[in-house]
Amino acid sequence: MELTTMNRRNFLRSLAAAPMALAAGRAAKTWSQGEDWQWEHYGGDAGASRYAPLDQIDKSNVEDLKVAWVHKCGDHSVRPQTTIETTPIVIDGVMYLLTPRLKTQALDAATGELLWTFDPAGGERGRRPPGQSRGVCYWQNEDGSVKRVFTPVRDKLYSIDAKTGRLDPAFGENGVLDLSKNFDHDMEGLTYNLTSPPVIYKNILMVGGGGGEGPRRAAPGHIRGYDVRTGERLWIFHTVPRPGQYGYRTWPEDAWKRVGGTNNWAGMSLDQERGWLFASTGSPAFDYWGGDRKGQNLFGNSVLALDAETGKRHWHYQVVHHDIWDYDLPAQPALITLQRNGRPVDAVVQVTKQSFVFFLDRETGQPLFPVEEMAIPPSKIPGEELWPTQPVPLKPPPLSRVNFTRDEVTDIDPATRKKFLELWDNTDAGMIYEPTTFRGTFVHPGFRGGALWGGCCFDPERNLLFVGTDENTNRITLAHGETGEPFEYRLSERWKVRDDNGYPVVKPPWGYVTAVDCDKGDFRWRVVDGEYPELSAKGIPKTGTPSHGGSIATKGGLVFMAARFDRKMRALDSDMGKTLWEHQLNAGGFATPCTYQVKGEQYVVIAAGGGKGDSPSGDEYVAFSLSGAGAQAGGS
Amino acid sequence: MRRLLTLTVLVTLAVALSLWAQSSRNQTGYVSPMEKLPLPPPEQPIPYSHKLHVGKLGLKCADCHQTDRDGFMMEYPSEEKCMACHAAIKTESPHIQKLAEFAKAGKSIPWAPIYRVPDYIWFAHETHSTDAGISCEQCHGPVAEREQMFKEKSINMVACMDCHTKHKASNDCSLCHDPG
Repeated sequence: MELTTMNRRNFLRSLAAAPMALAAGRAAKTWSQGEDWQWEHYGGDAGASRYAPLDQIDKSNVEDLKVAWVHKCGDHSVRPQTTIETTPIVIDGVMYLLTPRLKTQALDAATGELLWTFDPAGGERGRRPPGQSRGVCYWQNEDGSVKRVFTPVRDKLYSIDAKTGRLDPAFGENGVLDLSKNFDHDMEGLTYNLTSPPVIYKNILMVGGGGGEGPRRAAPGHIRGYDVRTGERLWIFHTVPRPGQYGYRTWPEDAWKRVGGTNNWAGMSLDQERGWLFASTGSPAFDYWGGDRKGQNLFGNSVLALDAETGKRHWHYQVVHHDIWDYDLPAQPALITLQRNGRPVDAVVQVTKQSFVFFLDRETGQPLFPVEEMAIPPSKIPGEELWPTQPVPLKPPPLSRVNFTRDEVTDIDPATRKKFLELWDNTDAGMIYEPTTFRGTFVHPGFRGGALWGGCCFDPERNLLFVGTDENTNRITLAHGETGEPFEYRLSERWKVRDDNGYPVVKPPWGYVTAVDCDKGDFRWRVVDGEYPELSAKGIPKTGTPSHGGSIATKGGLVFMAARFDRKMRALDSDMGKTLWEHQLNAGGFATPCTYQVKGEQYVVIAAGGGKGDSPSGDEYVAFSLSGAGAQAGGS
Repeated sequence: MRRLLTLTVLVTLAVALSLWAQSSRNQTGYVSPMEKLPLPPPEQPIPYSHKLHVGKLGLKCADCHQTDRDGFMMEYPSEEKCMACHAAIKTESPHIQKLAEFAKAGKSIPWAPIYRVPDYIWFAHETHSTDAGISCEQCHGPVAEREQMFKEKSINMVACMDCHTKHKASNDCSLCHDPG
């Protein structure tokens, strides 16, 4: 189906209005209550389904959840602002986490007692941002005599002895691997950061990462495999293909020498049975102008299935062609086994900033629900050649608004509406994939989604996928670059559009959690999530708030999520979306929680690091359980 | 002929002015049209003259202002430090008496800040002053000449990047922002 520009609006409206439908769930593998179960990976399991088969905490008792312990990291600062985006992992009853300044700490997962701290800054005064890191990963050899925790900090990867917290001298250079080296690219003057934990298959440790999105030159996002014991590079997959490699012809001839971006920054997932690595990539750099990279630009904005032992490509699926909107794929691909027509199907789920959800067959990369190539208007910027179409899934419907029409301008109060109607009238706006201009363009959903790195979680028993989304808007304007600048055009404006009170400039709601029926592709439910108390006090219906962080699901029929700016940790009913329990945190829980069971007690833990927007920074990891046991131990 | 000559001169002048204006814009580099400087001086709880203390009496910036533990923030002097001199100087002034009350009560004077970088910027005073040798005046203006302090220099992102370019310092995003 070829869609014209005119009917693009109707097409997207019809998607958003698709009716919700109910679908029968199906039981997953049974879980013996009482057995311990641990959150061993950043995404819960290697495939990042963020599901725990634990049901000690369930709908009937969740209102009794209590604080079991609080761990204070002790190294945050309010100015400059620190945050925590980490989901801790738990192995053998020990929790491994990152502090606001990216120290690695090990705690007793039942009591919160501090066991050791590793400081990558080595006691130096940190006068630069510590960077972000969403977690660590763990490896042990076959007999368990060697146990390692791997921590990424900016361009370094640290191999730490899990028992002592000391560096492993056999790895890299005295325990540290410089990831900006051995990159098959001229890295002179370029930066590299790894902000999500590596993935390990057998003895192969794999990293994505990258650096910069322009308008300066940027490093590409090549994906690499290393020997987990020594740090020796075993393979590399070039996300900007070289001559002779698949996808090379989707770029100009010399692009591979100069183009950056196309990087996996949100984390990867692993199919352990197939031995396949799944990585999703960001946009090529420079993010907002692609006149020097004409073409479809593989493997930018793509889901990649790679062989974990060799780095060879099995398949790819490109979600945005020739991106100029910074529509990076912002979350780990989630590997789930869903039920379609009564049969199990191994799937890959990719959530997007655009609020679309792509369900792909894990073996072939083919969409499980129909996807149409939607026609988009051409660019008015000289030299820019947009790809004429973009893929849009027909199911599920977009999780939040994909159009920012004049009617959708905020109505939170008359003066604010007037102000932003005037801005809207002076902006190229209205539809998703609106080309960038010299006048100014609204990008909605914006650079922070839609969905973002919090990703999604999946309940196999209910066959439901849960996703938190926002309603962010950005405005960007292109201008002619000046002599000596690396690109013909540069940004003269790029900002997150908020009103004077910091609220989004579309009409509420501004934050949802949605449950998607994975059989039918419809919404089972969608609820507004988060609240601005001062607006509620005025009688304005619950608006939701933007978020940073994701959700997890449990066999107990619960979805746990913090992430919103009201600083609350919540448990939602997986079947209905109703909030069954909430707890006021001392700082924003801008991370994804984890849950685990040790010594017979189930815990739910969230990092409350605040430090986003005007939300004050904090330094706590807060553990909840039914008994509250551990509180007496005092945590640390 | 005379009209033609006049017209030619006027056109030449207009072109020259236009080129000069363009050249000026280029020289000033990153300039935000949103920022209208200077700002009026904010009302302070106690009047304090940098012109007197720095310009006339010869105090150095570092005599009163020190960075915090991590080298990021430049702090106000303690009230005790002020009282080291003012226990004996101008004690009859109501402003000094107010200062003495703050010192006696162990309370901080709620000075109105003039320059304030946003919380999400990792700006270390120590890196700029000690490591890079940037003078205080480059960002804060001719302090020794000011009876009252007011914001006269831009410290927005474009001004920072312009200065970094001039001093061949990195303009990498992660130097000042957390790469999230």
